[in-house]
Amino acid sequence: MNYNNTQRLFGIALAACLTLSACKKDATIKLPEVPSKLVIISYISPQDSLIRVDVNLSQPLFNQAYNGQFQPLTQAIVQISSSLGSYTLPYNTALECYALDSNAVKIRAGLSYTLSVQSADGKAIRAITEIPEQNRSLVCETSINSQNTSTSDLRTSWYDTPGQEDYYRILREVKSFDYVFDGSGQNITDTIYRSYLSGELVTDSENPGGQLKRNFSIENGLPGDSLNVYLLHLTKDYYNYVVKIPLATETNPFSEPVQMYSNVVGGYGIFAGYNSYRVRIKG
Amino acid sequence: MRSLFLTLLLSATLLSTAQNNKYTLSGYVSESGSGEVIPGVIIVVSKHKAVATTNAYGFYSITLPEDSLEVSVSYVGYQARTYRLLLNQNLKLDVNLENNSQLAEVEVTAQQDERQSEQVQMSKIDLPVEQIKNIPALLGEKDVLKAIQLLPGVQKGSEGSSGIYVRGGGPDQNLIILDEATVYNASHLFGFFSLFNGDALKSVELTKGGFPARYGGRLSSVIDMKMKDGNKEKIKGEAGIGLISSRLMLEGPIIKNKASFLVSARRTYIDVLARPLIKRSSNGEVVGYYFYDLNAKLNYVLNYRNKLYLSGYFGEDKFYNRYSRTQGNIVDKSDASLKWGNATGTLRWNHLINEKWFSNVSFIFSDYKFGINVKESTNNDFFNLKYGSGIRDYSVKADFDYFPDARHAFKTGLLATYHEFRPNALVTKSSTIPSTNKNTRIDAVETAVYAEDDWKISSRWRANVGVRLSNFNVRNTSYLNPEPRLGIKYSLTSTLALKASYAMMNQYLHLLSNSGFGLPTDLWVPATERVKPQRSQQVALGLAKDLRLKGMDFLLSVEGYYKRSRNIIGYKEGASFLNALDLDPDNAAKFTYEDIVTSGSSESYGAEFFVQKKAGKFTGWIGYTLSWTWLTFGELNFGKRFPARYDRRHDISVVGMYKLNERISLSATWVYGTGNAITLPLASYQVADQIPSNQNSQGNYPNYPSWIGRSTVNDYGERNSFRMAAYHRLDLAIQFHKKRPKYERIFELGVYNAYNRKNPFYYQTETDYSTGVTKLKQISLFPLIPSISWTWKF
Repeated sequence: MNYNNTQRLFGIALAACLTLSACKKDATIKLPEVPSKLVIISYISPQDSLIRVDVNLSQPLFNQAYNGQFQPLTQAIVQISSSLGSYTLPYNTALECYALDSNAVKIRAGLSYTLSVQSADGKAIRAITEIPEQNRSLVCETSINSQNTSTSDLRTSWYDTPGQEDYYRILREVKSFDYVFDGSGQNITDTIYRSYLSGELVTDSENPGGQLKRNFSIENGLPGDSLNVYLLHLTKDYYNYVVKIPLATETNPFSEPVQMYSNVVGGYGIFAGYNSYRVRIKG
Repeated sequence: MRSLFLTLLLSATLLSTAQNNKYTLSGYVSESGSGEVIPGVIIVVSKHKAVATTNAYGFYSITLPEDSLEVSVSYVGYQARTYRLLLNQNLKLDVNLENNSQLAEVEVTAQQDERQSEQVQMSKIDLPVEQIKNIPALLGEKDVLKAIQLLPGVQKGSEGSSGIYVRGGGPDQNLIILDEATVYNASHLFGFFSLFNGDALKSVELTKGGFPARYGGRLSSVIDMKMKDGNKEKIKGEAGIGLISSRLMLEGPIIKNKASFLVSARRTYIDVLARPLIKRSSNGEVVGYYFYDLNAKLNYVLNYRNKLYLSGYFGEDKFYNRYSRTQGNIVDKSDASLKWGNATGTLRWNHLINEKWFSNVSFIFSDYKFGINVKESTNNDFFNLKYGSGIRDYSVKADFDYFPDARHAFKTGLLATYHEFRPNALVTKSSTIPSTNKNTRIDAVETAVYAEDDWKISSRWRANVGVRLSNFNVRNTSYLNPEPRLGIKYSLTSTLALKASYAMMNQYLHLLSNSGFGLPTDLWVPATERVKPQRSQQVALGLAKDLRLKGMDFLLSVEGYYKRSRNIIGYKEGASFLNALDLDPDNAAKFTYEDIVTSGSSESYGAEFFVQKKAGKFTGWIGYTLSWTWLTFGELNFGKRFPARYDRRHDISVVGMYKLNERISLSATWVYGTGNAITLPLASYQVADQIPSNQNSQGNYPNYPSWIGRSTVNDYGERNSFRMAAYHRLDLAIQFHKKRPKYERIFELGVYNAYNRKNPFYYQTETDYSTGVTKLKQISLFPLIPSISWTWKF
């Protein structure tokens, strides 16, 4: 009841003012003709076994039918190229995206990759990214939390590369065993859960070239579980795009509109590289 | 910096001792019949081409060689007086001027007056309070700030708003002072009305550039309002009834010619009138709103050399919503309110040190508070919330005027202010969620010392040279900034002058605002180590002409300006004051406004044209402003510059008041402004974060990135890249005066937005679900609104 009612109070007060004699009519502002543009979402990394590119179209908001549905574009030509070669990604019906085995493309740290997409009706976009170097300086320590023994304190630290802007995020991977009983008896299967710790993106601006630290509280899990922590080294485009997603989807009526980031020339979306390094904690 | 200040003081002292055969003529100028002192009165000694002006307390001083003199004392709207005297010793000459509001034009222009082309100060406009009261107003509520919006270089925010944007600066960059006390939020009813209706005011002065050193602390303008002292000779009053409020002003002597008082009050009564209807129609739910103002002033003349003034302002706005409902065994109660208000108090001591030195010491208090109170309960469950923000100042200020001779007028002084900032205080108690208790308070000390000289260099050249040294201490951070000020005038002819000015200003306070409407939710916050003080530099160049056409006097001015400001702040993308209302105790404890703001710079330039006619049957002005205002923030618009929301290419105001005869006067205003710059959504598309996907031990799926947080966002294009439709409006009013020996009754009929222009207030998107087509809709606020009011003066 609380927060909603506070907003309601504002609502009543503002509405009382604004509806004194408010009237509504079609705006006379001349709006530009905005064509549909190609939208891509693709993140590439040397550790991924599959390169995935989602392609669909944006929808102009005004003066034409808008349904808010963004169906994948299946007839586009999607190519990824680097100094090692150029490859066309076929459409994968199961995943509803364009996909290709990473081994074919050879994603390597330090290399630059160009993604180009051309739709059947001639729309074309292009985006470039580089793969950052793997940062292998990650050190992790855990200890049981003395206040709450079902959780542990995870302390991570790593050294930033001097002389350049760097961006990071930390991923936790838990592998646990599930016992499945079916007609053939008891089977053991393992499941991997991955999540970003606190969801935080880290820039090296807090200590450029120096040691960066982040501490987390994690659940201990079951005795047989394994735990890995990954340090993802991101491109600036990756950071700029991801950091804006929660802002651009914020519905606070008092805040200013947020311009979403994109590194796609001629369209919207993201094509960004990252490189991850794993530290095994247990299991 | 320090040596410059010392040099100015030393020069003053040397000049003082070097004048052996000179004598000083000094005194006070006041209004006949009320004893009200009059600032800005011109004292002219033609024989010596010497001019003096009364200061804010009506005091003047002019030092001349021994001689037989003819002294003229004049002020627009008052009968001028001329004295012949022999100046062979220091003389005291107190002058009473007859107020003559019906003064024929020829009588005014016949007097020697300090023309605009003679003043060194540029970018300053005096607005007579009586003119403000004649300007047509929304619902008949006379409004000082809305009258100021009609001046060139000043722009309003949006429809009905009393927010003021001067030469591209934000509303926080205006120093609004009432009897020397800073008024932090000058808005009632979310900005639709301002605090000042003019009843208690003696003078209103706007300075938008070329700031003399005595002013500081804001980047863009100074709106200096002085309250009337209160009639020293007889009880007088004024009462008014309007559509939404009534008002009463009383003034008079406590001890004749020695002590006087003034009280002025106003309150809206929509809540009282509507209460029975609301209760009946909404099942006991009470929703209401009111605001009130109270101005009070006491004056006491201790003796000729010492006077005391005590003045104050108190005002509050309150929205409230209460209900109590019972359904079966469930009792649901709620009592919520939203209120904000200012309180100011000023105690001043005028001391005439000698015939050349005048001093004033002020003790000033100013407090602005905004608060939300919510009390709710459902049977035994309860939730109470108190949110507050505000700022409180305690200041001491000493100002000295020194008049060494006819060529120099020095001003010097110092100011110290203790600020208590309360950006947000949040206390919650609940039977269901953890309690929160957070009270952020930041204390800071702001000090300044200044010196300036109005120097008549020659018959053609005149300058105002000054410097201000400001200092701000907050937490463990200290800022010290010298602020040079310079104004120069060169007379091309006896009625045409070329003027130039330069001013550097520092502002140690920021206003965090989402809307720019002047909402009470705007937060005043201090500069800190992380959030730097705002600074601006402004240059202006202009021509001022006093023109006489067919027996009528006009003031013409053309000014160009260029202003650059840095360290201005705004909310980061996606942030708002609601961030401060996070009820999660952990988040509340960590919240600081420094985390949700971003800083940038602004650049504004333009030209202003102004023609004014102050006296005669027909008075008014035409103002035109051509301007550009650009903002650059590293974290907004991808670092590219963008037009400010109130960047307004063209702004025109035409104001006319015509006294048809003794019984009827007419007034009209017409305004036009380029539409505000806004950001609009153009298209929508999908975004997603990635996470390496799950992979089972059988390797049924490859390791590939999958999407999390897939959602739809809008493409807004570049920030503020669209323009709202142009704003224009005509307001009309007719006043019927009925004069009787003991009172005067004024009956006013007004029309706001006479040709019913649907001006845009904001835009929204609206989808027709049958066709799926989305359209942009314009929301307009005020159509043609008639008003009626009565005023009695007695």
